[in-house]
Amino acid sequence: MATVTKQARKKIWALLALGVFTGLLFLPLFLSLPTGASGETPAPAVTPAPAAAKAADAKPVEKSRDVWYKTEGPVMGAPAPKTTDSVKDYPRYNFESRVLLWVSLQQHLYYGSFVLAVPIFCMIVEYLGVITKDKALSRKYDQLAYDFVKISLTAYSLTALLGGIVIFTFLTLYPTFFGYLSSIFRPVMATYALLFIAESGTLYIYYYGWDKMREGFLKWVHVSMSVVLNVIGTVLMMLANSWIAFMQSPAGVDAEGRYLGNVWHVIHTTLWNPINVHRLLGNMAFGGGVVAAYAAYRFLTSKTDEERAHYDWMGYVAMFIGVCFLIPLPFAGYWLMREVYAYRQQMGITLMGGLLAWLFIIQAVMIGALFLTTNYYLWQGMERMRGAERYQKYIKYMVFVLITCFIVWLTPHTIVMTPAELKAMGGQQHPVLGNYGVMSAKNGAINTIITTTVLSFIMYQRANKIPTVKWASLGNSFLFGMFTMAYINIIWLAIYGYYIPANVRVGLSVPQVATTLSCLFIGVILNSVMLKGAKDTGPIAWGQISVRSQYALIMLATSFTWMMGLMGYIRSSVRLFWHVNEIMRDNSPWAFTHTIGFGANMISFNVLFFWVTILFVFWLGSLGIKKAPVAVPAGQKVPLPASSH
Amino acid sequence: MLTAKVLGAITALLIIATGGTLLFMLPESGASQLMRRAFHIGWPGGLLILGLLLYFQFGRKDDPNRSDLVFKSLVGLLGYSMFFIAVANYAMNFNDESLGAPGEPRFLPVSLVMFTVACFMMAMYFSGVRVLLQIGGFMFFVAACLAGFGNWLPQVKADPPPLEEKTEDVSKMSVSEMAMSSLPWLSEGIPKREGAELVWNPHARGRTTERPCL
Repeated sequence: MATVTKQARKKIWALLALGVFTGLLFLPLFLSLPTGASGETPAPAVTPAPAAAKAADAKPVEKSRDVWYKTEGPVMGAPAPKTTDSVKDYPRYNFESRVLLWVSLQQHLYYGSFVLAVPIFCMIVEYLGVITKDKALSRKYDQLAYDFVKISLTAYSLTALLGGIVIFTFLTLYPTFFGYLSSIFRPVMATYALLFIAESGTLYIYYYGWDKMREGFLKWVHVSMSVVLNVIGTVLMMLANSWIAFMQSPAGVDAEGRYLGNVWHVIHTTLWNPINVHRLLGNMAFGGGVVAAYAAYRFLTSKTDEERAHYDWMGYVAMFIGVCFLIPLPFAGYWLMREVYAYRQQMGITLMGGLLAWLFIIQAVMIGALFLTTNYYLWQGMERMRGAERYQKYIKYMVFVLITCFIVWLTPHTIVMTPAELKAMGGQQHPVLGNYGVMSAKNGAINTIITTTVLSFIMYQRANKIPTVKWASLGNSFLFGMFTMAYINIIWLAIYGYYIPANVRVGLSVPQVATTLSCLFIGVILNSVMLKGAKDTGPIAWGQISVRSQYALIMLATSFTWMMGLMGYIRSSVRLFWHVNEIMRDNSPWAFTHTIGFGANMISFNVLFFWVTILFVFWLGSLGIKKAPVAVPAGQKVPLPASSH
Repeated sequence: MLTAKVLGAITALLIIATGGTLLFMLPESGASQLMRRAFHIGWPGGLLILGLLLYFQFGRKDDPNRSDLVFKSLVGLLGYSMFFIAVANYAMNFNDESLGAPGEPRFLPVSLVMFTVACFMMAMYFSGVRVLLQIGGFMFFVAACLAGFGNWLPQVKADPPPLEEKTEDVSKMSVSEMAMSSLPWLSEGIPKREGAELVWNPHARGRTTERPCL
């Protein structure tokens, strides 16, 4: 009883410490925001205002209308500068300035995403370690969380360095534009800098305090610090997002680009929240991919079975987290695109049906490849479980379904053609294949792919288990019926979509998505409940997985990275020839939109540059390995992620 | 007889012979230019590897691993050459718009394929960094596929529209000013847009419509 009270007291103290910690870290933010939001500058407390200032105050305040919110506000800034193609506005080297900025920004973004995502994994895994009652398991989780944060630490320094390079690139190549942007986001940038300092401090205390805060109350403080760390990281990301969202869908300024004194309007543009959600999910999927690649690299270079088992497990956990965030990502993307269409229809058309449409086909290919690879990894993973053989016979059918859907999914509606090709095909659309390029077919295809992936995961979950609950046969029948009905419903709606008008067809995506999500949540939860106390057909032999599976993880990581670069390029280039959409025009010699091929080459360059440098980071991380992972005696379970079996 | 080393040596000789032939027989061809550019960029490193090769061959006569080291130096030289030919390809074809670096960007995925081949080739012989090279080669392969896919179709570049001319803000004009500003229209007709010609159209309100110049 006394122990329980002591533990409860420790938890209360930990929560209090967390509250104080959070409060102190966010104090600057709370202090600066109201002032910025009101648009007023604090008046000097004692010094009387000179006569000239009084006279200035007496002048009527010019008011103007917000381009987005349509509210009136006092004009507090200069209009957006009208740049010219000159060295003053666009100083340059003998090279395309935009490309230099593109590379530095993309690298900063990759590293930034990585160091934002990894502490979130770390927080989850460390928390699992704290609440797990099994000591060996708890230590293993703790070691894994430590491994995660160690990787991100070197990357964190690189992120800061790259951030500096981005600032210098902006200042030296786009001084006028950057001056304008910083004049509007002055309070936000100051807050960003403060938060960056807070993030750095917290991260270093978190990492270096790991051993000191290993037990009891201090461990809870340590876990609390990871929460604070992630809150700061997320706010940092959201502040940075406000700059790009403003460039794409400006608000808080009038038609001439004059700041109207409300910093919240400038931050909270119409695309800000969709971008926040999309980016957070994307970062998590990307972080999962990078950590999985790290684990694969360590697996492939492992010398002992213990090491191999540890990194196999690590790769699985990272892949699992990454895919968990990959699944809702298309829905967040859908929301973002819907908001883009609502903001400017033309912008949406440029993206989905115009100049940049082919990039979405490439994206479709990548999404299909990601799901195929995930399925492949799960099937390979079943090899390390005795009893999984009974599911092997179904894999060939699943491959057929996945490949068929993948082909439909990547069939373009229309493609850019030469006149000769157009003539040979007899029109913009192919007489047969054109039928698969429409949205109705694609919705059916992607939902079938996701549902099949869920099915693969359920098979994986029960690969070495036989349910022993009394209602097992009923549960199995329900699962079978649910998936059968789901496939029928998705495919039926896809076919039905051909016979109804487009405006009605759009609504069909809702029941299709609902079906897929039902399979995901009901299927996985029901399966997990059924597997409680299930009979083991054999332990999971971690480390005994094919080398090919590790290349699947590397493929996932490369594809995530490429897709992130691609989507970033799409989002950015949809502004076309505007620095700030419809407010500040880009008059540099590089205001044109590149060809898709050039974009693909640049993305590839960025991806490979990132991976070359991150492999270096991995190598650096491997130099500081303090100890081998906790050895697991033969027959003992190696910990699994919470949602696995 | 035909061991991996012998085959490797024959391949290396063939590559060197092909390169040499191209440089001497077709000095102005694109391939020759590419090789010259690669040599221009990467000759110091190449010289270093060549120096090592000669050192292993002639300076370590008693070393039992001599032939292995010489062979690996040769493979390294080949990989290094491929790497710099790929870099030169990037440098020459990076962007058809860049100042000082015009070219054909659609050739760039070829570089990625060359990186892939170089990585896998070297991974076969350099066991110490085999995994890294294989992972790198695999990534280059994925990137080459995606970049190749992006470069497959006819490419369209979107130029920005011409700068807008400053027009009077009619909302701030008085009635008389507006009337005055419309006088030229009445006397000279509505000015046509650039790139369009006015054609007679009896159904149009102003009796003319613009027909874009093709």
